[in-house]
Amino acid sequence: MRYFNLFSNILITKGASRILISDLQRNTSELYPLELCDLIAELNKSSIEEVLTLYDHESKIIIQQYLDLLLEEEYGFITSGDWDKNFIPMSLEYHDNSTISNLFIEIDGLSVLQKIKSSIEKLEIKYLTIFSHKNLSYEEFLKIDRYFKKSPVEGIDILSPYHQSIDDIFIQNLNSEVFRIYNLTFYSYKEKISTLKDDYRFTINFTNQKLTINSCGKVNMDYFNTNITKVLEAINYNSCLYKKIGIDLEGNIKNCPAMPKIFGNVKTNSLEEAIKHSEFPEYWNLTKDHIETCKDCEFRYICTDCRAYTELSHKNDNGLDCSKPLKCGYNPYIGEWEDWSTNQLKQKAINHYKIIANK
Amino acid sequence: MILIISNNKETTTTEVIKWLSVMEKKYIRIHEDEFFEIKILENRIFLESDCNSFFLDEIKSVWFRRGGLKFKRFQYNNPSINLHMNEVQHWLEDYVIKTLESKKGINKKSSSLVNKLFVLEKAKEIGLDVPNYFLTDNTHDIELHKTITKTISGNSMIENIDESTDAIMYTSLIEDREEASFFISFFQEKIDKDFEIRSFYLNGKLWSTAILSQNDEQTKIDYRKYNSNIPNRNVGYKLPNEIEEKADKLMKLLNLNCGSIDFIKSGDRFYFLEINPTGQFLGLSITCNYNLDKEIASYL
Amino acid sequence: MKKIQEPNKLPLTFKYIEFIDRKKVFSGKGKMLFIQCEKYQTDFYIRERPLKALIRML
Repeated sequence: MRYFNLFSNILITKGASRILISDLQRNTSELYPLELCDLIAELNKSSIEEVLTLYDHESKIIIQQYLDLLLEEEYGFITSGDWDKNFIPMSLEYHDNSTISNLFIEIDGLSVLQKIKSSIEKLEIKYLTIFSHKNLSYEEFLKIDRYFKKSPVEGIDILSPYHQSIDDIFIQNLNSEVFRIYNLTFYSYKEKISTLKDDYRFTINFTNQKLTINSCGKVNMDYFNTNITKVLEAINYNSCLYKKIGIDLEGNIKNCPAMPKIFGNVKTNSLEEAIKHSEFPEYWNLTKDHIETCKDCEFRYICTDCRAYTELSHKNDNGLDCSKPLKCGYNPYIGEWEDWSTNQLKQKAINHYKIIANK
Repeated sequence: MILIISNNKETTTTEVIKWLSVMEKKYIRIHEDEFFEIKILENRIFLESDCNSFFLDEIKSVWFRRGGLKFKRFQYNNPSINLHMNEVQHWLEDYVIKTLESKKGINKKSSSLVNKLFVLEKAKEIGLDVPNYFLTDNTHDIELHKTITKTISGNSMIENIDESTDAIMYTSLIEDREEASFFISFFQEKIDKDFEIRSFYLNGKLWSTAILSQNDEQTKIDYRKYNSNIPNRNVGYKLPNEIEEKADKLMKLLNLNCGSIDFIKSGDRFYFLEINPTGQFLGLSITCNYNLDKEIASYL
Repeated sequence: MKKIQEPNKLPLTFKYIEFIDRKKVFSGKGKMLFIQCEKYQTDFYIRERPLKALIRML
């Protein structure tokens, strides 16, 4: 008798209409029909020969094809006599060595960064995402990079408006002088976007859109990531807000600059004080398995959630917003992507956020 | 206070330090270019370098990762006095090292370099299966296609063999006879393997990873020839209790409480290959979600 | 393959040696970027991109 063993770093995420098989070692995710999930479950309980007896002649051919697929993709292996019990299941726990892992801040000048610099170092924050409303000069980019020289900060992402001085020389010079900046986004770019040389220390994006904090929260395949660290985090914690800290333009300390609840202000409180607030981590444990619609979606562990912009339809027993993200146009019940911004059912929520933004 | 002795370009050390930091444990990291002067302060032995300083008695645990503790030595003009003072300084340094090694810790400098030949012998004595091995300087009696050769050196890499060139000696299959004799080389029976197993041992506990590479012609003999297009399948594995017990015995016999142990599984047998007290383990730790960096930080 | 010339005999492992041209392997994007970190007492802190999209604006 032969037995099929699924490798322990293959994750099967069941959605309402299909399944996603994620290879957490090779960082790939593929979609498959629901019936494959049932088959794998059966192969986990009985030998291959026993499973085949459950099907008629035509179906047997399909089952064999699925088996060939599983072996070809190296999702598992076959043993004879019994499953190989020495291949142990993988723990799905997520252990993180940070107090706060990333900061998302909205600025219109560099002084606030200088103010919170020492808190960032004390909290050992690893990533900074800086959204600037004002143009940043060459010196200002350098200053930002240098503020965190010798600190535990691993990477800095800067979004700022495009201006005329930003040309090839600007980028080239910046490339030779910065260390921690890993991404630059220039928005409100007037020209046509052409592809740039791509071997800089950082990635660069140009967009014609006039970005604001409200632009954030998009959910689409471009933002999906399959890697063991990200997936384990998403299984156990909220994939956006866990260990994140946000600071808005007024200096208010929040979970995210686009969310309403305030836990302090940089003018009067330190970041360390703000995170001690009992409600600061309230969303940290809200995983996709507890969010409406997302809990039936096969992409739920490879996507990144958004609590700032949701459909505002459901609240859980603790009063937390557990509605589906507003800017996700995927319907897991039919397995199709739609344009979220024109979806009639989302208009009420869209208007609600528009009103807040205009205040 | 935890003392960490490491090389400079060691990301494993940095990862463990991140955990120590979040666990609020104090540590001092020694670098490869640091030289310590032994002093007496407040009647206690005090060690001072350009970057770090500490009292010998404030160190509670030591992680000997790589490199070593280096000392500043004074030279004297009179050759006889110099000889004498070299010995005096040697004993002081030796006292410092022995004191550190007697504290709780992970590995010691004195046991970090293992003799592969000695280890194989002890492994056999303890009852582990070991592929037949021998030393010789010619291929006259070697069974072709069934014997492999590998270095008895701890390091299979030769850095800077030529300008901007490094060299690696992978375990290789002997397929031809050599006319001439050569320097004494190590040969071992080639085992038809199901797969390789790399285990990380820390203080009596083992975390194993099965490395399945039979699909790749390239990696059939030595899994380190990474095929970056289709990497090997690395998954968590549990060695039979009997093997784990013997491995534990072997490590204790060699005075090691941490290291990577390599095995080959062939049918029902698990063949012991070698031990590396200071090998890399983070890659497999991440793939199997073992969090070994956290384990080390917790232990220190 | 470079011929190794030595007056004394070498072990057979040298017949199977493989050479790695560091310039070819470590060029351009493959290069690791090292930064300094005082807290972790290292000059070889590896600068890595985050493993997930921290913001999703575009």
